[in-house]
Amino acid sequence: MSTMDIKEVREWVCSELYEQMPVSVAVIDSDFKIVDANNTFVQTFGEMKGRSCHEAIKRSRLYCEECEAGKTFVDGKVRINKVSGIDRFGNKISYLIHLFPLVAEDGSIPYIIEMAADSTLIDELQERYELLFDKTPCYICIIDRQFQVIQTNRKFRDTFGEPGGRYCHQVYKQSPNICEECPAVRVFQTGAEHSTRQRGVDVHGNTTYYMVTAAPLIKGPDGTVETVMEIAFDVSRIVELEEQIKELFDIQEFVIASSMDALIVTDFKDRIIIFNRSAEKLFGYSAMDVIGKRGFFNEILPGEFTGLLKDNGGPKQIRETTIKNRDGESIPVRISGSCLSSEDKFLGHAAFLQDLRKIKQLEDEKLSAERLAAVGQTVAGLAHGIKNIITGLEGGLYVMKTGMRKSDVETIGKGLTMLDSNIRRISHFVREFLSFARGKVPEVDMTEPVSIAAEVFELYKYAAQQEGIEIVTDFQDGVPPAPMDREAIHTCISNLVSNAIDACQMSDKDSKVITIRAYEENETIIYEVSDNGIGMDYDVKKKVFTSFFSTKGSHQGTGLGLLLTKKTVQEHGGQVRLDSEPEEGATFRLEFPRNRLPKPGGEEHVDS
Amino acid sequence: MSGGDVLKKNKIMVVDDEQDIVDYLSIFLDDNDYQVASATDTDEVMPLVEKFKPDLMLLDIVMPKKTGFAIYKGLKEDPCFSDMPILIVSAFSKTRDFPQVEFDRMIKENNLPRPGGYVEKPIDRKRLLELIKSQLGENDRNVDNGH
Repeated sequence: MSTMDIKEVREWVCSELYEQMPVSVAVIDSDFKIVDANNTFVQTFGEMKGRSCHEAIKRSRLYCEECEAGKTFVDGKVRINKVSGIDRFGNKISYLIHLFPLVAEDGSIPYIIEMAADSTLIDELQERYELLFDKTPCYICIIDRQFQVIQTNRKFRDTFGEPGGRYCHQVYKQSPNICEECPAVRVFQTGAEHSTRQRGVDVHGNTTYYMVTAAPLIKGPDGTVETVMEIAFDVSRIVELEEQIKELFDIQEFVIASSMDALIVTDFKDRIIIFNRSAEKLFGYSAMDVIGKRGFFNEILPGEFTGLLKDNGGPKQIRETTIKNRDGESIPVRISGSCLSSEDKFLGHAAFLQDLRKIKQLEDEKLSAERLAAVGQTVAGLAHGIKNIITGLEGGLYVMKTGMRKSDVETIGKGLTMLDSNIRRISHFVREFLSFARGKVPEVDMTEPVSIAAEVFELYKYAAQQEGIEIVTDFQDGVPPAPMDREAIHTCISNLVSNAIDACQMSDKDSKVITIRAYEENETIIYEVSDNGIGMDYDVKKKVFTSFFSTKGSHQGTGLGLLLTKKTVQEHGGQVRLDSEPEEGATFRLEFPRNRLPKPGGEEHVDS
Repeated sequence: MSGGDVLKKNKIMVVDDEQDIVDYLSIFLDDNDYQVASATDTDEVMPLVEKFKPDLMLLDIVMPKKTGFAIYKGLKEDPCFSDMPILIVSAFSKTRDFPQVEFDRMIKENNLPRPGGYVEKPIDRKRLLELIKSQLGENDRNVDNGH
């Protein structure tokens, strides 16, 4: 090399450069014949000297449609052309062809240099990126500083239509004005990325929600953002669900707030999260004071209830218990609730409390009204009983006077007997009436309810047998003791059995049966006395509990028995039910709800 | 039945479950020259009515087995006795007490003629006699009410 002079070096470099440069170079004449080609050209397309360029590049005998070499031969301008061809191995290749005219001294252009740079890879990449841009399943658009939409992807166009040179707010929202919280504005101002949620109108006029992020795409030399790319996701379904959730939440809020029941809910850390208006009213605490308070749930609710909740399982209920409000006042409540969980995950506790004060008051008033009504009936009945006795006395006196007037000893005797029997009626009447009217306070002790019925059965079974009546029993085992006036209840059941025997006696049936049942159902102790005797028609049923109403004839009954039974049952907070049809017998049922029974030792009621 | 005095004119039947009342009224009516028959058992009423053929009946309302209304209805629906005047004798008040009010209601409901009159116990004998006479159309008879 050292022997070469600079000219030789230059020629050698040019020659090497020409041959080895990674661009296919060919010199073509005005007939498009290749007059020379460098090594890269030969390597790519083969030895093509003397053949036409389209034959070399495209393996085609026809001129290329897109070829602009002809124009360059005419006007001598440099041109850049994109062409696709086939290499000597048959592969498709893309080229970027530069056409340079070689101008002769006379100004003619005998040759053109074609420099073909392989752009296959670039084209492929571009195609891939364009595809990616177009097929991305979110809305993409590019906006210039005038807010004109200059490029969009397919999903964008499918949703918002062809932009057609419109402004972004026109495309997104069909609005003539720039959006209030336009993210693109922020990006143009700050150069930083920005996101917002927007409501737009799609090509069909439907409201659509999207979450849009705008980012600078092209910046000018001075750093000014020239174009912004906006990528947006359709969040319409999310917004719809959000609205549904909000609606549900609002309804729930309303229900909780307006519930007559007090509602208290804790989270999994035992902190109060709901304490509604009724709870505030019942307990006297404001929700502001107790929300978030830990342990408050156990503090204000009865231990017997919170204890039940620890067992997990389903909903728990205590039909009646008491809570203490902020002032220490005991309030009767019904309480229910449960342990909240989802897929074995503990979420908290919920309790619903029903204030029973009003109900209690109404019950008490009802009880008083019933007692008053009983007194009224008693007074009416008393008048009736007395009128009958007076009639008897007056009759006796009349008969005696008649006898005396006629000097008829027999008639006098009859009159005296009448007087005597009616005076005895007065004594009997007064005795029974006093026991009724004295309003003896029930002497209550814990007693086994079924055993009372069993005693009554023992008392009557032989007497009934003698009358040809069978008494059968149906007693439930294991009914727990209850506070009751044993003697009074005994009298009640005895009354019913005695009545049943009378009803059977009056019946013509061959088989006369009385059934005594004693059992507990839904925390109510029930005694039932059924007979298949003569039964009762509508008139009798209506009046059966009225004082002094008797179907037993003149001297057999005072008509106080059933009234006394009703009174005793009422004093135990219970009620008497009667089911009867003429000739079909009757069933009397005494029902004693446990929560209404008196307290042992003469106190009013268990619940008060 | 008390005696068979043929001179006595009209026949009255007393129906009441209380023997004392029956005895009392029987003696009172006998004193006032009526032929009297009585029943304390409601089952005996119809056979006795057919046998005795009373001109008037004094009837109690609340009785065992059959109510006064059932007897009343039976008689008013029987062509042989539908014209027989019936007076209701009861310890219940006509306007206040349930059995009496119910009796009236049932009469209306069954489209039955109203009774000839109501007599409340204790019995005002003078009024009873006046009612009986008016029902039997014998207003010129003397009254012996025992006073």
